[in-house]
Amino acid sequence: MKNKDIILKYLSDIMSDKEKSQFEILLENDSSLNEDYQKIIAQLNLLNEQNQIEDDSNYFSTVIPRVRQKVESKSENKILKLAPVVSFGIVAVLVFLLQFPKINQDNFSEFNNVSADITNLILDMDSEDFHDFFDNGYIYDYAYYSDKHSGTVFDLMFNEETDYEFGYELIDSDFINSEISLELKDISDEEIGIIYEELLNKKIL
Amino acid sequence: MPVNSDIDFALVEKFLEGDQTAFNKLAALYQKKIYWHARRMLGNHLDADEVTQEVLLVMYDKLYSFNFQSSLFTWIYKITSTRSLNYLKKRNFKKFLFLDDPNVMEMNSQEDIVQRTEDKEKLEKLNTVLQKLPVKQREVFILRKFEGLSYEEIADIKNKSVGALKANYFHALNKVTELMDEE
Repeated sequence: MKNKDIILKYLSDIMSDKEKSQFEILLENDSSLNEDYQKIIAQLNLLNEQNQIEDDSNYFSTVIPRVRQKVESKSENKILKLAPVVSFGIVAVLVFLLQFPKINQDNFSEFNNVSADITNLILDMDSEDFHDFFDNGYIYDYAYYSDKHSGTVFDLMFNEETDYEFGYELIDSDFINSEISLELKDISDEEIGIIYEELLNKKIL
Repeated sequence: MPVNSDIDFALVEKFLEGDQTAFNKLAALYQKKIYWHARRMLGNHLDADEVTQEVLLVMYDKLYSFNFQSSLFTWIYKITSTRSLNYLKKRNFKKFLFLDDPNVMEMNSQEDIVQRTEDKEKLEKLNTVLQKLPVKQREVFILRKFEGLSYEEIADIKNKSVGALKANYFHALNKVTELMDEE
């Protein structure tokens, strides 16, 4: 096709305004150019026609829910990454109870609040704070100086008249077991392995 | 064609204020455009589906960084273009290493959102032509011919000069007409 190059330049908008006008005049007067031009336009129209496709609208109703699912699973993964930290929180509370276990059944709800507070505190920490909190024993300072819990369960914990036997009973209680299993129920065996290693490394176990 | 940017901006603002339904509305507005761009670039449903989800996920994660200076339409097309090209590179690399899973290729041919036989044939013909174009030419051709964007809009998306895009489109047209002559 001898006119192809000039036709494609016109269709690609490569020409100047003057060249375009000249081309359009030529197109009206040159039958060979017009024929080639119509042939190319027909080919491009055929492509347009091939592009007119009816798609399955059901598919598009599934996309957003699937994306939402991925967004949620990404958030869950973030939580799983924090699982060792949460577990440290739980273990810390247990260690607490072993060391300062003068808590009776009436203190359970208070214990629950303290446990939640400590866990929240731990989740907000960076790694340096986390290290200080456990390795340098600041968890006890928090307990002792916390205004929020002053005169509550912490006071009992720091009382010299501790009842260790009750602490062990508490660990075996359904309440503690249900709290732990609630936290750990979604964690895979592999993640539990990682948590276990971490606890060993931190010499908590 | 770009959709109404006022609606886009209002939805983005609502989403950033915590309205999750605003994201669903944005996704619903753009998912077809994203899918069909990816589909034409990649040539099959499964890859296009994956890219569509990826783009929507990136939108969800990165909308907070959207600066309202350019149109949301351009921003989404930039993500779609980048993701599609990355996907193509990955796929070509796998082909190079003979890592293409024959089962996945088989699934590609079975699973599709195009149901009618006539439509399937049309799409196959179109796909045969598009997949023979060099990637840069294919993308400009798709954006201009099928998605109706101006050179200026494509230049915004691709960060290229209008002149370079015109040259790409010219070469794409040349190749397309050659391929159609051969049929």
